[in-house]
Amino acid sequence: MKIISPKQILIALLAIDGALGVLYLITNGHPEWGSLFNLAAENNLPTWFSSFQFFLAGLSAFYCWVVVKPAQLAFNWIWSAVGVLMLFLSLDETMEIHEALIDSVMSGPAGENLRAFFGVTQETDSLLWTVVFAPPMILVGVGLMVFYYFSFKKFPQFFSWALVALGSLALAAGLELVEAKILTVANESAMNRYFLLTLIEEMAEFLAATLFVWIHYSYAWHLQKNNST
Amino acid sequence: MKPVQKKPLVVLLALAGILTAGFISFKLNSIINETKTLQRRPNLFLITLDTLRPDHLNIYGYSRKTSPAISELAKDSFVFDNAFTVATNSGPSHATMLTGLYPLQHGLMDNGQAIKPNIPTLAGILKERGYETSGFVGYHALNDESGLDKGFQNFEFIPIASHDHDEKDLEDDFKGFEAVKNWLSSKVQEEKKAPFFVWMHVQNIHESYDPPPPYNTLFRDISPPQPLKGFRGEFDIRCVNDMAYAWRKGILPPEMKEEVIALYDGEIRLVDDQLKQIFEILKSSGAYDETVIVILSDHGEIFFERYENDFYKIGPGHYGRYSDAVIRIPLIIKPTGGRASLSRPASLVSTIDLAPTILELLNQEPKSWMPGKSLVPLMNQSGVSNSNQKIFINESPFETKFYGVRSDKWKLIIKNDEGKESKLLIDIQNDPKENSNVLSGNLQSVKELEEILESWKIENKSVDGSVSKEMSEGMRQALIDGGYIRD
Repeated sequence: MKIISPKQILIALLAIDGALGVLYLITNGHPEWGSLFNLAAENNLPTWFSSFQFFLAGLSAFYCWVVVKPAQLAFNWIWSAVGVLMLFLSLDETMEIHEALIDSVMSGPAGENLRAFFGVTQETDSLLWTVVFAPPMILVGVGLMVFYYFSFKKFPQFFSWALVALGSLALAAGLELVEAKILTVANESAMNRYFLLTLIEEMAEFLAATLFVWIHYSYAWHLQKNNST
Repeated sequence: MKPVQKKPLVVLLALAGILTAGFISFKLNSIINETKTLQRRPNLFLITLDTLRPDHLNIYGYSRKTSPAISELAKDSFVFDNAFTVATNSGPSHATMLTGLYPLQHGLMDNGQAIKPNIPTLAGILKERGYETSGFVGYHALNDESGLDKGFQNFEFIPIASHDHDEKDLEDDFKGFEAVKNWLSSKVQEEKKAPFFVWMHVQNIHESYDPPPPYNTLFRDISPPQPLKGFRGEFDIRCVNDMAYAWRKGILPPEMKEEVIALYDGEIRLVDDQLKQIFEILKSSGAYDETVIVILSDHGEIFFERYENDFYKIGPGHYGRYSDAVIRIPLIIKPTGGRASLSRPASLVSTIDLAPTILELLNQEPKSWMPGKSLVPLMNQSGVSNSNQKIFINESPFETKFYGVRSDKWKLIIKNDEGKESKLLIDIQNDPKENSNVLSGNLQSVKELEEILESWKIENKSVDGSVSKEMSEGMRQALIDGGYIRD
């Protein structure tokens, strides 16, 4: 059986990322196809693909865990935690977990104050999750960065790309807040900016997921290769 | 780059991340527990009295006792002596009050149209801030087809009695007030109260001037329906079509003009008595002090004024006419709290300023997209007139585009009827009765005012991206009946 190489996976995922971006641009506003490829919407092709990517990133993290397990190092179990985190992100894409959590926060008085402070409307509540959940997200991001640093000492290029992936996720989260602000203004130029930022945000998220899959899979691939030689 | 060299960077990034997370947690905690935005959310009671001229209210110097309850309210209020509407049709005018946008921005340019779907409304903003919102309107052009129901959790369209003067059920004239009283009574009795925003639109004063007893003869005896020389059939002064026809034909007896004014005043007194009962509900429940009350009209009315310029249409009526009798409105704003040393601001102010003013009085954040300015700073400058202040007019009745600008000195109105442009320039200071079109002798002033209008158009660009809805058959028929659109 021919095993797919990390490079092939990277190229395939990047190609699909790009194709979805192009399809979003082409079908935007189309009465039937528009919603299927709308990067700003949920429960459509981009959402399912993003979920699939994080699923792959989770699987490949578990693969890393299996490969590094024989070495019996103290922090190898963290690979399983990374796998769980990626699977959670995969589930979140389709089950809209963070949207449900933010709804519960924003329906109370805290929500009123947050809206007033950030100058956004109720219609854009779902985009404020990036602010509310920023502290745990930053801590998880820092934790991942430190973990990747120590894990990838022998493969510094993976650490660099991991920083790019984490940076892309941070960019996507930041852009969601900007989008929330933009949507409070009801004019055509605001909608055009929202359209552009949605494209950048979702492409950044795709890129991050693709890189996680590639980094995890490459790391396990190289370790296994080294072990076997 | 070797991993060893990255170690300090990683440590620094990790520390920065942890510090950032800590700072954001601290900041979020203070925002969420912020008491400033939650501590005071006063109620808002917005009363729009359709077709009410300020000079028929006692607080504006009228001698007939038309409005004792409003005068009583005015003791706790700021009374604006120079308030103007943006539009003379009820639809565009109310849409401006309720969105804080000019008609060319919110898209409701004429009765029967709707605001663009993506336009935020005052009710929507307040609903998001936890307000209970309730609207009561008495005119077709303001019902849910107009989109002005957006943001109202409860929205009731209660038209007043028909214009069949002999057959109408007089109780219909009170239905709207009763609905508001019932809603308010139950609301103020609630144990766990959220702040409320009630918008009550009152159609009674609008023509036909035909109040039920005792208001029909409160100020003068009214002639019964009778034959009138030059008029086919029986002439009924209470019927606006009869009255307008006779006036325009020059066959209306002078004493009947007085009867028309007395009927109009009777309508105002009817409304005032109802308002008194509503204010009593607020006072007896203790909600009065915590309620911002705003009274204004959407436009005034021309009765029997004659203008020597041929630009203004002859009365009676209001739409598409821009004499001060039509565009000048009463504006009374009662803030929260007890009686204080209140003032009568004399600066020119506009209904475009209403939404920002209300937001400030309710301790809400200002909205950057609203072109108007809060009037709160003016409220402490009694009698001060800002001569640089200008008010703008904008609407498109019968698909004729009107733009206008008025200052203390000049009034310029530009009419564009399918590409055919005409202009009116009034020297307000020297010709307060607005008789002469002084366009030709003041070309430099016209040029300057036109430049001001052009700048205003650029600053307040129309919001593209949507079109007004098709009107329903019911709306269409109602507007034809009211003379607003042609059959």
